[in-house]
Amino acid sequence: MIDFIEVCRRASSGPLISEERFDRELFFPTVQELVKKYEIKPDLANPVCDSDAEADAIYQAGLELITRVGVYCTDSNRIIELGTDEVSEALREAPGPCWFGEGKDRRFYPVRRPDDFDTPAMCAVGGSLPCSTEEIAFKTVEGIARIHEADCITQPSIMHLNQVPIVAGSPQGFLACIRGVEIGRSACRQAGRPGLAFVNGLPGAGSAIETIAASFPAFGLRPSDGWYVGFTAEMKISYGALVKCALLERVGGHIGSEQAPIIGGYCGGPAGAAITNVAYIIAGIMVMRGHYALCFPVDMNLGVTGTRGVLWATSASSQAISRHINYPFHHVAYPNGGPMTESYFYEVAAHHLAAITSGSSAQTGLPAKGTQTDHMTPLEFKLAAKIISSAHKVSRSEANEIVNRIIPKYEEKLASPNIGKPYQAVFDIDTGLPTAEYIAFYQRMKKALQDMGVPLDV
Amino acid sequence: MDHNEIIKSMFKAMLDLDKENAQKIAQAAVQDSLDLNRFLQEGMSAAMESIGKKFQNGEMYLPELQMSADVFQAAMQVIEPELLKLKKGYQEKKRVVIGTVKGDLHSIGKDLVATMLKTEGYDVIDLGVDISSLDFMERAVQLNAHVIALSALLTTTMAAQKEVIEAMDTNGVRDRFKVIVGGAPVNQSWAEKIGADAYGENAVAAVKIINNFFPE
Repeated sequence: MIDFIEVCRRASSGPLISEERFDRELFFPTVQELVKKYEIKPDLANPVCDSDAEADAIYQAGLELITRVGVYCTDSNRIIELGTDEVSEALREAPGPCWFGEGKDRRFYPVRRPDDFDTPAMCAVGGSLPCSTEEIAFKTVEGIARIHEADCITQPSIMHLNQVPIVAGSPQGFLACIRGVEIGRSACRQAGRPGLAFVNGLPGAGSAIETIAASFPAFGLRPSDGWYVGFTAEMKISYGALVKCALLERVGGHIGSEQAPIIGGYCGGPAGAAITNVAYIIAGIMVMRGHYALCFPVDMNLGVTGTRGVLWATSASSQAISRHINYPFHHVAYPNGGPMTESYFYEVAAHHLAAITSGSSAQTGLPAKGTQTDHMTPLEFKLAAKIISSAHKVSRSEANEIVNRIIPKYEEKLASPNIGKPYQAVFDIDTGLPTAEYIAFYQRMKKALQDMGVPLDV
Repeated sequence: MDHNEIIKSMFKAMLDLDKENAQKIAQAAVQDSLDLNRFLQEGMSAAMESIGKKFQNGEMYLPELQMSADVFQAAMQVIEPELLKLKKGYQEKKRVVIGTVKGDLHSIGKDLVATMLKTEGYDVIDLGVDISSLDFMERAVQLNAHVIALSALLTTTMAAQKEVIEAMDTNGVRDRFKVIVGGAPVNQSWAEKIGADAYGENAVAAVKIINNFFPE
């Protein structure tokens, strides 16, 4: 595979083009051309794709896309071009499965296939949602770490230090990153899981300086943890992201290439998003030097992952990737529903079934689209984790039937805000335990999902 | 050529995203002394409305919306000087300064709002991403803008929206502009807290709100 210095060289000397022209004259028309060339036709009535031939076509289209458009460096305004032979070589050398965490908490992140009944999905729990106090952040992580099914976690972000608001790129932003790691490590220890890995030790949206500084071993992050490094839509990378990759490659941390094809945006519709999702995986391996990928095709207008178009793109691209590339990847749900809403549970169930039966692993959904302070709790994550851990037991076609039963339960509500309840309304902050009301709600939703066919171990 | 036919052909050229043809038809409309307000409303704005619906329905995508805005503006370059000469029934364009706040590199939501505003006939100055609070204010003042639209996609950057308003208050220019805020972590209560004039939950809502800033 081309080495990272070569990536740097190409970012500095590749073809020069404005971002607008890259988007509108190169990327978008190429994706649309490939959708037609490979005759990719989403069947939104059946969001869990069940066609190996279609998955293979999407893979070929993704392969052609990355070799024709490359990756755009937003700082140098140049294209990092990737040749066909180089891509083939990189895919032969793709990293394969990996291990996260340490000691008894060490967990395997497998490479899976569609209808992979023998290999449970890797289960990542949590999200870097904002928390208003360190106490809520600690209790949330402690609760998440106690989830038996959690193979790795993501800890929340704190919003102020001694009442000084956290602003991106500021010194207090860097200090907040360190504090987040400290809280996360301490809370995992409190939960009896000192070796549990962070699948994303620092906010992926953080600056390169924050990442480099907060990754210093003294602050608690370990090479057995992971770091998400993000592309921007579509197929773009900044110098800041490349700097993060340079650091992590040299210290041996796991790089999680983060990709979110936006349906309605520069990749077009669900077919274009599926092709783009494949192309991103290749870009993640070659340009970011990734060890795994975080994927989330998302609807541009609603900002959620539960629409039929997104579910189809998630399923179809997961099959394309897992049938051809030896690289672990997981999809995360962005449900509209927040904690203690029916919608949250239905949306994540549909998403995880579509993704996991198609060969992906999964991360529990970020409640209320991951945007509301204090709006995440261990209890909805617990059920989401159980779904992730059991979803491999059904086939794609079975999952499709279940998903089609679930979608009507939430589809009409996706356009309306449904943020649910904050942690402090449904959990006792002192004990870190859920209220009786939320427990009853959880039991009701678990039964409702089981009655709909969602495989859930009792 | 029949005036109705000219208007219909303009509508089609807009939907076909055919900039060259749209400009030719606009020139024909001017030369034929067509009612240009009617031409704008029925041939151009109606087409943009149709394109907007197609975008909402997932039949067209952001780049096509952007191209339609280019076609619209290309045609406007032809007819606007004539409309201004007439002045009758034609409102000069309002100017919107839009950007993503400091520390934030997300652009696609902002791009969508900018495009939709252009198709509504606004003069849109897109400052880009990672724009400092003072730059927002200074550019809006320099350009005699009417609206400042601030996008933030991260909880760690949304505070910059407040800072833009603070900068305007400190410099005594707050009353000159309407300020609308948007982005994933932003909501109505945040907008009220920081003294913004409005919150746009999504691009369509933002455009409606900005239209309501300037009732005819």
